[in-house]
Amino acid sequence: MNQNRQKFFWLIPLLIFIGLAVLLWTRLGVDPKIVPQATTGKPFPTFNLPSLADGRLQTVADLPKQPFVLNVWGSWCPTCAVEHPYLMKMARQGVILVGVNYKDQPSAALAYLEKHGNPFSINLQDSKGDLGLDLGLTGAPETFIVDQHQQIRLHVIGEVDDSVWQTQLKPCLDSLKVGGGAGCQ
Amino acid sequence: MLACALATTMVIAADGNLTFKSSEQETQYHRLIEEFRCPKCQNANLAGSDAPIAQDLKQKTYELVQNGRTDQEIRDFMVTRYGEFISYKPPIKPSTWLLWFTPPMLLALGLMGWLLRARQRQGVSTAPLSSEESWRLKQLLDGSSVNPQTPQQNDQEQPHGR
Repeated sequence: MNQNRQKFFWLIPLLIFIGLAVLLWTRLGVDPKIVPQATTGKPFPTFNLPSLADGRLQTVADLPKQPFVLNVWGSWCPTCAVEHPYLMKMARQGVILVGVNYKDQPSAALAYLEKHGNPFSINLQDSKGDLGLDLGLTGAPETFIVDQHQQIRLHVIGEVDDSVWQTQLKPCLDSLKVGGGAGCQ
Repeated sequence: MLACALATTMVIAADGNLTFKSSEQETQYHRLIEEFRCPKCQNANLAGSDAPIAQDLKQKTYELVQNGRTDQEIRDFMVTRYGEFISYKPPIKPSTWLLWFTPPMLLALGLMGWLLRARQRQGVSTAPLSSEESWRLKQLLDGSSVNPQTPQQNDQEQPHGR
């Protein structure tokens, strides 16, 4: 009896070791950055913001009535300039893009679009960053997919490139067109 | 006095000259920005982060405090936008049980192991002596009353020992 108990005590460190090894092994190579996805699956936040083009106030009712990609950008944001050509390519392929011009000077933003091209059907001027906060934004650029019921379905942090398009955005948009949304995660 | 005045000025300057209606609101603000984590820099709280989004969230916290919202209301505001992730003090619920209960459980396990071990040792020492051992004990005790530190005596008394 005592002997058995002794053996059992020797097992404890081994079990702890195995547990830790499994835990750490499963996290190997996984991006440690936690992406806050709290607004995914929720209705698009209400807003009342001027459009960048003409200053007319826009609300949720002015958003497209079909699935669209919403991109948060600023002329001050270096990574936005890096992903901009890809957004232009998406727009040429018929993807509906809504821009949120985040904490920017309208004149600087307009000059930026003049220079690099304008892929967006509308641009909301979020100069104070309130819409950004309601979207659970952590910085720019960030990209969302909003479905036809104006529910947020996907939140991507950082630059949009071909791999993000192929693995995240396109599957989500395709499945929303069919009416599911199973490709959005 | 001067140092104190300087320190106060510095705190105000770091927060962009925030003014509060009451000292309770000021403490509330500082408590909350200590508790919330910066969603951009991940290993800093709002108070310790200079990321633009942290500035915004500090500003928002300030506004909510000024509007007289409670801690819980402000926490809810942050959590609906950034998830439980935002708080360094997550609530206790099934998904956070591991986080909350593993350390005390490990401590309890350790204590239990230690207690068991101690009891085991005690068990060994209180086991009744064999006749041989009681005889030797008697010899040692008798001997010690005459001359406690005499090794020869011990040697002499060892014929039955191992």
